[in-house]
Amino acid sequence: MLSVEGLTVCRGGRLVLDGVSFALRPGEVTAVLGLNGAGKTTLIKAVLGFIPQQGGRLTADGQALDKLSPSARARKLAYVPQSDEGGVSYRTEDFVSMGATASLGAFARPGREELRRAQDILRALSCGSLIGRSMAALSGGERRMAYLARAVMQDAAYLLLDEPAASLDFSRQHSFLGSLRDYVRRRGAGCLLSVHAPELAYAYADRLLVLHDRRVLLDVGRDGAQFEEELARALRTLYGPALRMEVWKGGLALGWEAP
Amino acid sequence: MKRRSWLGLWLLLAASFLLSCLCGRYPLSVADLWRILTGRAAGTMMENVFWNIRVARTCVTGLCGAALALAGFVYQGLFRNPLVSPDVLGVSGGASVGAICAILFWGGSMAALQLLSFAGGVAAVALSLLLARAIGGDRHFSLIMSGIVWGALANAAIMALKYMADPAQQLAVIDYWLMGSFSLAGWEELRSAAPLILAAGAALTLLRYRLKVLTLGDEEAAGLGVAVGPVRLACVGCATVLVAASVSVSGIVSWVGLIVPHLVRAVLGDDFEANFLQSILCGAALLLLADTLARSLLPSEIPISILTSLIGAVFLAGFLLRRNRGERPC
Repeated sequence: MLSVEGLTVCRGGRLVLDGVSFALRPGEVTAVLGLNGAGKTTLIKAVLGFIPQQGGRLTADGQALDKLSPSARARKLAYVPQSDEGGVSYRTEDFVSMGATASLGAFARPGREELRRAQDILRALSCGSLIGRSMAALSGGERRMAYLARAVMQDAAYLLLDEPAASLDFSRQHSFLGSLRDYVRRRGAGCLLSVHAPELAYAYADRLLVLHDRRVLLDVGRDGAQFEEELARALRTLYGPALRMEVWKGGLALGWEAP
Repeated sequence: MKRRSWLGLWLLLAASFLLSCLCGRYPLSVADLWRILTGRAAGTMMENVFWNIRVARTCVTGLCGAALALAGFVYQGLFRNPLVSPDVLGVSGGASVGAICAILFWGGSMAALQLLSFAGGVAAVALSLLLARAIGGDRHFSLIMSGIVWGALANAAIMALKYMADPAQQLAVIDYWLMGSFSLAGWEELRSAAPLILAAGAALTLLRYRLKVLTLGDEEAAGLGVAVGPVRLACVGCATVLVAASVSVSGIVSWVGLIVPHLVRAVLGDDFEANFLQSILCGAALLLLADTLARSLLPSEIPISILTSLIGAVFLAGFLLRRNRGERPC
């Protein structure tokens, strides 16, 4: 279990997260919801150790995260960034094989074995067509899949994804999140992803975490007795009383009441 | 195709090495070379020129070309910016200040000049790193900015020192040093520069995969398990040693570090680990050809930076023109 207790983070002199606590369980997808600027990205980067924290305790399977070496930490946590502004032009399977970095020696590099495994992972994610192509020539959706494949290659105990569904079209959002959930179940990995659309969170997450006003407004599992009612209340706090929410054919349908 | 381009690159290096050994004020022919290598020219002027002047100079030049190009390649990868040159953290400016001090205050002894220019280059980069740490924030931005700050300071120092210099003698020596030349490069220079260059190059060869991961950006690299700070520091340190060691024996050689990695990527294809070795080979070949031209074009030697700047400008213009043509609609 990855446990976050009382995480407090200041950025640019402003308190962004104030005593945030939650836990990621193996085999479960947890979705973070929140308005723009609610601290979703900050939360993910603070857990990864990219941003210094002012307070709180982060442990993965009982080990304090800040005590781990970079490679030990990378075997615990895999990261999929929000956008890849790097503009790298490596071949896709090369890029995916870089997920193995943490399990290689200090001066070693991925060899034939890692490349073969990277290709297998891409094929298993139905992305065999990306093999041999340059990352620079891929569409946004294809690049997302390459990032997912790299995280799978990394084989970490926990996955943290920053808005993985943003900038994907409707069908790719669903195929990406579906592949992710299948992997998380199969690997028994814990997963935290931030998302803007409550419908997607409802459809793919086992647990929902709503951030509001620097704190956790709601932390609830799908199997909770009052799941829908609690979610509706939290979403109305977030988006205002004009929000209309309905569960329709197993999915969440949201509407907006005209003034 | 791929094997052919590797073969071509090695042949280019071998040809430029041979050309550099044969051309010059005292021209040698291939037949002369054969006589020297088979020992049938023992004790002649020809043999003396070949072993004591040409081979040593050629080795120093090739090594420096390789070092400058590799340093440029490393910096461009570290900063994820193809327009970064090895001077970005102020190594050339620092080396220049050191060299000019040696010329002005130590009577221009070669040992003092090499030592002070090397120390000046390393010190400038160390100061850039310290200032960048004090600035904080985005590391790439603060590193480049502190490089600019120290570069400006070094420039002020260079101008002040030149203003103080005796215009009849010292000023010319300073200006020649700032334009670079391998005319004084011999076995002594090889002995002082080669161990540093080879050691830094070997360390970078070991680190090259970690450097490749760093080109994804600091956060992604950290997420993949790379110790970003130590790896970056090691890469900057090694690249600095490469440039400072080569500048200490030749003076300032401009453009090689910027243009060679570019050229290699554009002509031979963008492949990080292949480009690493290709930059080394191509840098050595290019500087050997430039140095051969520098001592063959005119009766007296031309400072090398005149030629490398000229070649660099022409290549860069050609590269940019070709790239934009590729982006035009059909």
